[in-house]
Amino acid sequence: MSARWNALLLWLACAACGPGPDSGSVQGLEILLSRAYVDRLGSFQVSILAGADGLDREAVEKTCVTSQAVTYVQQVDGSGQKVKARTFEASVAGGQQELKLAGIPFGREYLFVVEALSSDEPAVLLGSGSARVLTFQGDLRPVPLTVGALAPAPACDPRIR
Amino acid sequence: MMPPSRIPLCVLLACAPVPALGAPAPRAVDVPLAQAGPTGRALEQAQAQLDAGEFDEAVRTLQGALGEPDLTDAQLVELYRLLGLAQLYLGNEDRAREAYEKLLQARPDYELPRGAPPKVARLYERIREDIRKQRVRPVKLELEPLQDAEGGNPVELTVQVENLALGSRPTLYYRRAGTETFGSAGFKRVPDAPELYRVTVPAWELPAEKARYEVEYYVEVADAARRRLAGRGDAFNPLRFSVRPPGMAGREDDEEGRWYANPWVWVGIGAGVAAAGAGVALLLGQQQTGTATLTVRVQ
Repeated sequence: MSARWNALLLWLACAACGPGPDSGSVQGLEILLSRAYVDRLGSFQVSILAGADGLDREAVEKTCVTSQAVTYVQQVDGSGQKVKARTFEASVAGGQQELKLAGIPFGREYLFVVEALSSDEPAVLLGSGSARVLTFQGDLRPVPLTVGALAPAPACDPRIR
Repeated sequence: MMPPSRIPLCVLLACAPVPALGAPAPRAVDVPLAQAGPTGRALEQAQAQLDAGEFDEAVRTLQGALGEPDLTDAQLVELYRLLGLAQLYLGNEDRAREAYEKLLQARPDYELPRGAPPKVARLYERIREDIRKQRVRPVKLELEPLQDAEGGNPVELTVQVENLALGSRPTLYYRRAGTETFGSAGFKRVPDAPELYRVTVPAWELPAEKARYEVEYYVEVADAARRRLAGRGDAFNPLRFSVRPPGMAGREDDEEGRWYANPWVWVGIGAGVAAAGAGVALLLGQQQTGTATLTVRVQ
C-alpha cells in the first residue's frame, strides 16, 4: 500500500474519531435573579420546552412548569442519562454562578425555563423566568433571562421528575 | 244515553283497580349499590368484624377491598367509612384521618353512629374539625407523554393522579389531527396501585396507513359536575403523538429507511468509500446536540 493511501486512511480515521457528539455550542443565557428570594434559594431547575411558538411566556412563568401541558426537550445529565430537567445547587454567594447544560438538540427554537426553587423540603417555587432561544445561531451572545419573584409561592410541586 | 260500547277511555281508566288500595303491592328489594358484587361481600364481612370487635381483621378486609379495580363511588364511601371507624377504634388517629379525608370529600356531613364510644366520638370530631380548617388539596396529574406508535396497534396511557376526590374521574380525549371532534375514553384504576390509572386507545382507532399521521390528545380530571380539576393539554392546546406505518422504526428513518431497505445501494460501495462515509457521518453527527453556558447573576 502506498504512503499516500496510508495517509488518506489515517486522515479518515482521525476524522471519524474526532470530537464527541456534544462538542457544539448553543447560545448562552445570562440569568438575572431577584435579590428578594436569594436567601431562601436552594437550587435552579432548567427545563427546555419544545413548541416555543405556541407557548405563552407570561403564563408559563406564573406557576410551576410541572402543572402545565408542555413538551420537554430531553437533556443529558452528568451521568449521561436523558432527563427532562437539570437541577443545579445554587451557590451564588459571590453574586455569580456558571451552569452548563448538555445534550440540547440544535436547529429549533426552544423556550428555556429557569425556576428558582427554595431550600425547603418540599421545595417551593420562588421565581420563574423564560427566554426563547434559537439554538445553533452564528451570533452566540448570551440571551438575558430574568427570574422574577413569585409571591406568594404558587401551590404546586415544582420538581420535574 | 251513551251505549256501553262507547264509554270513554278515561272513564275506564278511572274505574280500574288501584293496587295500593287493594292487596298489598310487592315490596321492591332495596339493595344499596355499595353492597352489590364482591366488594359488597367484603363490606358485609368488615361490618361483622367491626361488630365483633375484630378491628385488625376488619382493616385487612377493607384494605383488600380497596385494592379492587372499578370501585363505584358508593362503594368507596362505605369502604373508607368503615376503614376510618376501624382505625379509630384501634387508636390509629393518623390512618383514620387519611380515610376520613377521602370520605369527607364526598360526604362532608358524615356523622358517626350514635352508639360510638365518647372517646371515639371526640377523636372523630377533632379530625373533622382539622379537615374543615385545611384547604382542599389540589388534584395532581402526572403523565409521561405518549411516544410515537405503530399503526394498527392499541396504545396504552398510564397517569398518576394524587388527591383524586370521590366522584372525580380522569378521562382521555383524543382525535386525529385535522378532525374536529375529540373522542373520549375513561381511565381505570390499576389494581394494587391506588394512584395509577390506565386507559387504552383501541387499535381500530389508530389504523395502519401508508403515511405517518398525528393524533392529538389531552387528559382531564373532572368532578361529577364536569368541572376541570386538573389536566395535561386541552382542546385548544392538545398534546400529540405520531402513528407510523407498520415496520417503520422511527421518525428519523422515514427517508433513510428506503435507502437501507434497498440492498443494491450498498453494492459497489467498497471498504474505503464506506470508511469515508462513516467519517463524514460522524462529522455531521457531532453537530446534532450542543452545550449551553448559563451565567447566573443576582440583580
